[in-house]
Parts: sequence; structure tokens; C-alpha cells
Amino acid sequence: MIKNGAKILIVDDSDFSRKVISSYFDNSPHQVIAEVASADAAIKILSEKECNIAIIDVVMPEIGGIELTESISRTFTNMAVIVISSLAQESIIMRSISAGAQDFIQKPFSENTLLQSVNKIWENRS
Amino acid sequence: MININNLSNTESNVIGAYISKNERIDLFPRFIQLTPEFKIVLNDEPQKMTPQLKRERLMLKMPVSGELEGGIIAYLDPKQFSANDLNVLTGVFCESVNILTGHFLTRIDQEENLMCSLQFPVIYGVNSQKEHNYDFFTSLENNGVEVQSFELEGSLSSPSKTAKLLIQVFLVQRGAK
Repeated sequence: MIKNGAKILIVDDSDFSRKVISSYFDNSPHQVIAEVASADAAIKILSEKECNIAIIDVVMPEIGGIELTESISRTFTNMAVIVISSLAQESIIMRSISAGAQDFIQKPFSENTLLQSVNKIWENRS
Repeated sequence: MININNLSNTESNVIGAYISKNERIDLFPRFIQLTPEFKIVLNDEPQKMTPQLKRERLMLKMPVSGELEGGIIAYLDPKQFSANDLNVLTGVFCESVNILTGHFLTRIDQEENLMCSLQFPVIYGVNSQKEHNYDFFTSLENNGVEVQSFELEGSLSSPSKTAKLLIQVFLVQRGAK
């Protein structure tokens, strides 16, 4: 399949979760360029590779997902961020959006839910 | 298919809570009603409740901070699986606990207006840093209702087993004496 959609970065400390999310893109036009377990690793990847959309978990060691979203929004202004978390308190959603996230999705989510979000962001940017 | 169920009503595998005495009366009854998956049936200190469980089970501790402080501890009986399967399933176990506890704390915020957040989990009993190639189909069920299915290719050596989670909640309202 030709992958001419968005270039995706997955940031989640759970390797199982990363594998599941990555598999959601197997039959989509979007391409997962990397899966990483920490904010530091994400920043390193972003300095080396072009990326359009980052999918970021909130609870991670050392630097959390919302801080990472803030950092990406400041540094990589053309990128979009989708924040994911099993916690969906209003305050966390608001903090995610304030940090620059385009969408917030509560875990667990289906392939359809994630692809709809990515497709919408990608279509708006194309 | 592997189902990850939580135990909520087996006497020897109760979901417990440690809440300070002053808060117990006000807080406890509401928590019991709050979520069926986290039915709180026991008041005791963690170390008194779980010595045997700590020795015999794969254990995940998720610290909780905010207006409620404490932690959530989940156990998986490793005897249910082969060593290889257990290593692979550790990721499913962690993610399952993350999903269930995240929903639990979200409901506490929505219904009790108590804001708290999960911290990075610590796992005991296996090498949690190891990356695995997941190649099976599994689903997370809570009290018989599917929460999420994870579909990846291939099979485990024991693909039709059901793993049961024991989840304990230890929370104290901030400022309680």
C-alpha cells in the first residue's frame, strides 16, 4: 500500500500499547515513522525525521505527555498532536488542548476512532 | 483468545482499600457505589493484606497523587501461564490495569469532584524493560463486558486461557488525619 498520508510518531511507555496503535495504521495511507517510549526519545526522533502527527500518552516516566505536547507545539509548529490517556478528567483534557493538542482520545479506543482523528487533522492540514 | 478479567467478589481476592479512619465514614460508602469493577470491601493496611500475594504474583504498583493520594496495586497469578507467555503478557497486564484504573479515577473526578492523577507504574516479578513481539489476539473484559480487544497476528502457546486480575486500591484523601 502506498503510504502517502501523514507521518506518524507514537510516544507511549507501554510497548504493548505502541504495538497496538502502530497496527491500527497497517491498512491506512498513514506511515508510522517511529514508536518511542519517552519524551526524550521523541524529541530526538523529531530532530532527525519529518513528522506530521504525534500520538502521545499522558502518563510517562520523567517528562509527561502534556509537557511533551507543550514542547512540540513550541518547537515544531507545523506538527499536530493527539493526546491519549486512560484518564479523561476535564482538567487533563483542557491541559492537553491548552498545551497545543489537536485532539484528546481516552483509552481504550478503536482503530476507527484513532483513524478518524488522524484523517481529520491530516485533511485540515493538506 | 485471552481474556483479562478482574476479580471483584472472591473472598480470597478482594479488592481492598486503605483509607484513614477519619475519612472512612464519609468517603467509603460512596466509593463502594462508584464503580462495580473497583468494589471496595476491606479496610486494612496494604502490608497486612498482601504478604502472600506479594510473594506469589506478578505485581504492578501505580502511585496516585492529587486530592486522593495513595496507589493502586494489581496482581496477576503467574502460575496461569508459561514463562514465555507471562513475559509477553506483561504488557497486556500493564495496559489493562492502566485502562481500568484510569477509568476509575476519571469517574471519581466526575462523580466525587476529587481530582487525582496516575504516576508512572512500577512492575515487580518480570523484566518490564524487555521489548516483545506481540503476536496474538486478546481482549480486556471487565465484569463480563469487553473493554477493548487487541488484535495482532499469531498465537501464544496457551491461547485460550483467561487471566484474572486482582486490583487493590489504597487511597487517602489529601489532608485527612
